[in-house]
Order: sequence, then C-alpha cells, then structure tokens
Amino acid sequence: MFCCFSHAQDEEGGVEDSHFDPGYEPDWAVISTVKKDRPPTVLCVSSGEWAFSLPLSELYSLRRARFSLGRNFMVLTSRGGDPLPPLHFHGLHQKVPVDARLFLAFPNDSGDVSPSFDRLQLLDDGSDLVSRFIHDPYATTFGGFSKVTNFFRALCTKRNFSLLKPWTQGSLSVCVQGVELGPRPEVTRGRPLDQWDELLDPEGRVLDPQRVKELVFRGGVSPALRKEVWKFLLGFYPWSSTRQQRDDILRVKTDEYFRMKVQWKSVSEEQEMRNSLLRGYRNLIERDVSRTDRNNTFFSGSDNPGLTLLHDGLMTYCMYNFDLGYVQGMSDLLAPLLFVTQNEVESFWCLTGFMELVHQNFEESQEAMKKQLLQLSLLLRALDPELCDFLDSQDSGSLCFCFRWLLIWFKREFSFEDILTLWEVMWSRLPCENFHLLVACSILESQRGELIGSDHDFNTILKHINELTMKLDLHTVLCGAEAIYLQLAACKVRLLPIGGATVDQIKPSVVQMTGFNAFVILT
Amino acid sequence: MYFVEHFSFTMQSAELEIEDSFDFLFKIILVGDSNVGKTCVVHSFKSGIFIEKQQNTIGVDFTVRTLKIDGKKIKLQVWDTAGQERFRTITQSYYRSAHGAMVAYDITRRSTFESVSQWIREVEQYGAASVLLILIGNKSDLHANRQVLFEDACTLAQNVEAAFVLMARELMARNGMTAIDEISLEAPSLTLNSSHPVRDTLAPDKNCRC
Repeated sequence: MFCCFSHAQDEEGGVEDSHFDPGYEPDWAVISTVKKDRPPTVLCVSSGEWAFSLPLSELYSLRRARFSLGRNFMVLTSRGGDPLPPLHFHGLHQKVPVDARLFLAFPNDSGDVSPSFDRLQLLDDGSDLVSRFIHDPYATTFGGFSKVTNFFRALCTKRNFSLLKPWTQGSLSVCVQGVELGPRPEVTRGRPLDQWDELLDPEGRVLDPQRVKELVFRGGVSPALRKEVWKFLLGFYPWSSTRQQRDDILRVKTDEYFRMKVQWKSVSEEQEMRNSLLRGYRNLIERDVSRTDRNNTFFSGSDNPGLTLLHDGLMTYCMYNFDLGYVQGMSDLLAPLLFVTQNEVESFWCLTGFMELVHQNFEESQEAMKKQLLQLSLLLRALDPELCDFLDSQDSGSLCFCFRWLLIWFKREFSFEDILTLWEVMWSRLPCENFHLLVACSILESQRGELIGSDHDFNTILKHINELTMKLDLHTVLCGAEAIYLQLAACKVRLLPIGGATVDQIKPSVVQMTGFNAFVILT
Repeated sequence: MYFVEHFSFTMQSAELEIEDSFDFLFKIILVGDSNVGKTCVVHSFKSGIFIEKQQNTIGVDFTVRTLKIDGKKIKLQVWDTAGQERFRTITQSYYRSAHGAMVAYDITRRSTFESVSQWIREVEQYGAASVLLILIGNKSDLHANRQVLFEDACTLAQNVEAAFVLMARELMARNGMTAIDEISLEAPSLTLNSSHPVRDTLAPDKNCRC
C-alpha cells in the first residue's frame, strides 16, 4: 500500500502532475516543496521529480500545520522518523481547532490505546466512529483524511492502489494530540543532599529510599557524598542492603569484574587477528579514550592512570555485553563515573547500571533514538505548537539536531561539574521516567525566541543548537523541565478506552504523565 | 579546492562574517572513518588552530567560514559527521543538499583508506546527484607510519566512475590550514562558475602536504 504525493512547483496551484487528477478541491491542489534537491527518502514513483511515495505501513504520522503562522502545510512522517518534505497548500483559509492537528498512525497488537476521539473533528460524526475504526481502521482513518484533501481517494481510483484494504497485521490506531495546557508553575530547586548517615538505619539500610531520590531530584548530591550515593542510584547497591551485604556485593562484583577483565586481557595478538569484532572494539576504545574529557585532571596528561582505567572499563564492558560492544559515546558515560568513584570496579558496575537506562541508544538499529526523537517532537508539539511548526517549516521537525543530547544525556552540552548534577537528578527517575525528554523540551523552549526570531533554517538550527554547548544554565534548564512536568501532570486528559483495554492497563508511570497522550500511546 | 584566503581574521571576525552577505553558499559534508581527523580538519579550517585531542563527534557538527575567491564571497558550511557506522542513519539525513563532500582517511591506517569506497557510495546514495568529492589523506605529518601511498589515493580518485570530480589531497591538520594557503596559488581549482568541472588529481607535494 502506498500513499503518493506530488509536489508541483507553483505558487498559483496550477501545475499538477498530469498522472492523477483529481477529485480534490482546487484549494487543496498540492503545491511546492521546500527543498527541491532533496532526494526521496522512500521509493519514488515515476510521476516526476516532485513526487514521492510512502508505503502506508511506513506512515507514522500526518500532521497539519498551525494556521497562525500564515502557512498551510502538512507533514508526513515515516516510521523511520524522517519527516518527508512539507506539503504546502496555498489558498486555504479554513479554520481548524489547534487541537485536532495531529494524527498518528501505527499498527498495534492489542488496540489498547485510548485516544480522545471526540477531538477527531476532521472525521465526521463521532458516534459510530469508534466501531468503524475498530472494524476497519485504515478505511476509517483515510476516509477521514480524505475529507481533508480527497487526495487519497483520487489516487486510489487513478492508480488502482488498494488504499482502503484493511490492515492485516494488526489494528491501526489514530490519536489526536489535544492537550489544553494550564499555567506553568514556578519551580524552585533545593540544596544538594549533604547528609547521608542520618538517612540510614543502624545496619546501614537506607530508611526511606523515596525520600533520598526526592532529595537528589530536588538538589543533586554534594560532591563528597556522590561516591556513595551514586552506587545506589545506579543499582549497584540495593537500597535495602545493609553495610554487611554491601561489603559482600562488592567482593562478589569485584571477582566478577576481574574475571571478565581477564577474558579480554588474555586474548593473544594472534587470536585477536582472527577476531575482527574485538579488534574493532579495541581500536575504537583506544582512540576514544585518548580524546575523552582530557581537560579533566583525572584524564589529562599523557600517562595519566585514569586513561588506563577508562580503557579497561570499556574493554570489560565489551565482555559484559559483547553484542553491543563499544559504541562511540560510551566513553563519555564512563568518564564521570570514574571521576566520581575513583575506582575501576565500582565505576564499571555503575556503568552497567547507567547502560541499563540508555543501552538502547547505542544499538545498531538506532530505533530507540528515533523513537525518542519522535516522542520529543510530540511533546514539544503539545507544549509549543508554534515552535514545532516553525521547525517543520524549516524541514527540521525530526529534531535530529537533538541527537547528541539524547544519546549521551547532554554530556556535551554542560560542564563536567554540571553533568554530575544533571545525571544524578535524572538517575533518580523522578518525577517520571522520561524526564530527559522534558529537559530537552526545556532547552528547546528556552531557545524558541532565538530560533524563530532569527529565522534560522535547517542548517543554522543545527549550528545554533550545537553551539549552545557550555552556555546553558543547568539550574534554569532543570527548573524549566520540572515546571513542564507539573504543567503536563496537572492538565486534564480524557482517555476513552477502546478495544477492551482500560486506563488501568497502562503502566502507572505512564499514567502519571497525564495529559501526555503521546506517552500514553508511545510507551 | 579553493582555500585562498589567509588566516588573518580571528574567531570573532569569522563569526561576524556569517551574518554578511555572500555570493555563493556551499554546503560541504565531511565523512570518513572514526578518528581519521575530520574534526581537526574542520577546526583548523575554521580557526587555523590545531587541537591535538578533539572529542569524538556525536551526530553532526557544523562550521561556517566565509572566504574570498576570485573576488567572490564564498560562504562554506562544513558539516562534520560521526564516523562510527551505526550513526550513519542520523548523519545521512545531512547529506542531502550538500554541494561537496570531503572523504577523509588516515594515511597511517590502511583500513580507513579501504573504507573510502564505501563512503563514496554513501555520499552518492544519499547526497545530491551532482555532489563534488574530494579525497583527503590526513595526518601526513606522521609519514613515518604511512600505510597509504599518495599514488594509491590518486589512482582511486581517477578510477571512481561517477558524475563528480574527485581530487586527492594530503593534509596535515596539525599544521593548520596555512599549508593550504600556501599551496592554493598553484593548486588546481575548480572555477566557480564552471558547470562541468574537470577531473583533477594533484601530485604529491612534500613541502606543503596538501
């Protein structure tokens, strides 16, 4: 199944592709694209250079632009996360409520999605929509889309594409991003956690782990306590462990670490000749170690023992998770852990804990990165549709300029000292799992004036974002992120269960993010 | 290529020039294996300063410099990309609309040269049809450890069957781009208005290592 679009370069709406005409209204004649020389991201049909086609199964979302910008355009995003060139529509002045702009199309197994169907104002009578939808999601969905353009139908007829054939591999869900946000609260941050012993019982158990996490979220950890607290935050020590148990854990884990270390240490040169994977990992690690945080005293100078520790920790991680191996960016994760723990074994196990949270970022498919970028764009859309529309109009709606932020949790954006604080805040997993996305939103929102005001384009947006490095104020960013969370959490959400699923079946941590349709659906 | 201007201006004046008008805007992507020195090349191009240990590049980075060539103001956007294979999905989205691509390898590591064909295919596949290519052999100051002959690069450049011009150059980012400034007078260059640039390879020049 394909949906096809033709871009004709014409201000007046005249030049359409002769291959298919239309039963669509002249107002919706599809006009120009922004970037002429952009190669088609997907299979291109033979209807001229302005056309592109996208298998329906690859369609992730379809979104109309906000009209306040004075531009009418529609952006289709493929499952791979790439937005296709915006389709501009000239001469359309129909008003549509802001809320009903986003459609997400995705297959899912159980249909346990709960969109606000009453917001689907582009689809007609809401009454039997749900049943029609469940019965034949694609037909219903694209029936609805066709009310916008009549475009799919025209294509179907002309090209004999069976667009309306039901989706065979599961159901399709459509949701509307429709969140009315209340005011954003003021947030103040707290002092760093600087008492530790009094938070423990006589055997050394943490009395109230939740309280500790809250303190860490609110103010971070004072430098002197980091070495201890991080091991809890990263799961090396269970919160409920006694001192005695922790000693035992350390002993066992030390043995385990050195057992894995010996594995790569004992590979002979000859063996390595025949092990291209290991050789590749070692090469990359050696090269990256020599250029990771070299300004930090722990890694500066040519014979600094810190370099060996970094190297060995990363090599041992390869043995711990050989499928993943070493991927660039991981040295950025280990360096602060080494700096704080000053200990090879502890930093290694802290790394494994950290990687539990982020290892998917480094996987070959990069699916997790694409997913996070999509989630971020949905979030941003709820928070700041105008900024989103601006980015869309500059072909930057995919937010791929945020890649570095998400991959290594802003490591390159803040000073080393600030990163220690930011990471421990995010390791608290409060107030929600995806707080790092809210941090990203907070930064993006802080740049909205600059981005829109200076009329940046695809190129300079990336440049501007990259150049924020070391210029951001962590305190402001964190306050902003938490305020966004509170704002989203406070806003009402209407969840209409369909397909037998109820809200209860959605993970509690997700429901916490009420108002957050994007997360409810994507998680 | 056309590195003509001297490096007299400072970072600030370079920044200011970004806002200035220009006659031509060229977007150039810089690709190649990990740690061949892409970022160093960009950095010396931008500021004339060699930094021994650049951090590895995550995702894509971006540098702008404006040059005067033949009396025209040329604004160059250089896109520096992450080298590791798995990040190509993200870097590829920046290939499009590039006018030129620099494929870099490390003359002291044969494997990075062997990857060059793969990088060229990438650029052909994801870049614009008419993209110009230049092959850069970096770290030529480490000639004692040389594993790739300059002649090999020239041969490769000549053998690439594609609708673009390929030049091979060796470069020593360590020396700053002053090396390039020196050679530019004699270097073969593409005239800016030429719609059909000529295939060209540059003979090795031990003096300026460009």
